[in-house]
Amino acid sequence: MRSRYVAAAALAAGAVAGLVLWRRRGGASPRPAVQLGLSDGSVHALDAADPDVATLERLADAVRRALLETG
Amino acid sequence: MGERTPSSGDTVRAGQDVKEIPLTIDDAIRDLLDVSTDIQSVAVLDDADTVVAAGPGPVAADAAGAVTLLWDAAARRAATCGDAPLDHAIVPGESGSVAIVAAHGHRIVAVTGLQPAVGLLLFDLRTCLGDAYPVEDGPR
Repeated sequence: MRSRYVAAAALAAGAVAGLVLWRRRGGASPRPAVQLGLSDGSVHALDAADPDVATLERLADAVRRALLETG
Repeated sequence: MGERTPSSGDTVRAGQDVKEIPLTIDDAIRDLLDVSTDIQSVAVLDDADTVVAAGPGPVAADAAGAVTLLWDAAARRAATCGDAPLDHAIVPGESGSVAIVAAHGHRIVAVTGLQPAVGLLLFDLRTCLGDAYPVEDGPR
C-alpha cells in the first residue's frame, strides 16, 4: 500500500517537473533581432543566421563593456 | 499640485515666436537618464568621433573607438539594405541591448537592460540630442 503512494507521488512530481521544463522552454521569448534603421524611415531586422549579426553582437559587447566601465 | 518652475530647456514664448533654449549636453543626458528606466549608460560622440559627454559616470578611454567600430560595421551592413544612410542601430545581447542613433551632427549610444521599449528608446535618444543640439531654422 505504502509503495503505491510513493510511486504515485513520484509520478506526480515527475509530471510537475516536466510541465515546468516544458513551459520554460516554450515560454522563453527569443532574443529580438538586430535592427538597422535608415534615414529614409525604413527599418531592417537582420535574421539571426545573418553572418553580420555575430560581428555586430561582438562589437556591441565591446561598446557595452566600454560604457559600463566606470574607471 | 506644486508649481513648476521653468528650466533652461523650456519653451520661451514671445508673441508668436517660440524659441527653444538649448540644454547643455550634460543636462540633456541627465534628463534622459531621469526619464528612461531602460538606459544604464549613455555617451554622445561628435562628428570627429570624440566622446563629448557621458552619463551617469565616465566611460572607458576606448569607448569612442568601440562605438565607431560598431557604427561603421552597421553602416556597411545597412548599405546592402538601401541607399539611405544609417540612422540608428539596435543590437540586442544576452545582458541587454546597445542602441546608437545619429542626429543633429552627433551620435548617441546607450546601453540598456534586456528587451527595452525600442520605440521609446529611440525617441528619448533623439530628443536628448535635439535638446542639446537644436536644428537651426533655415530661411523660409
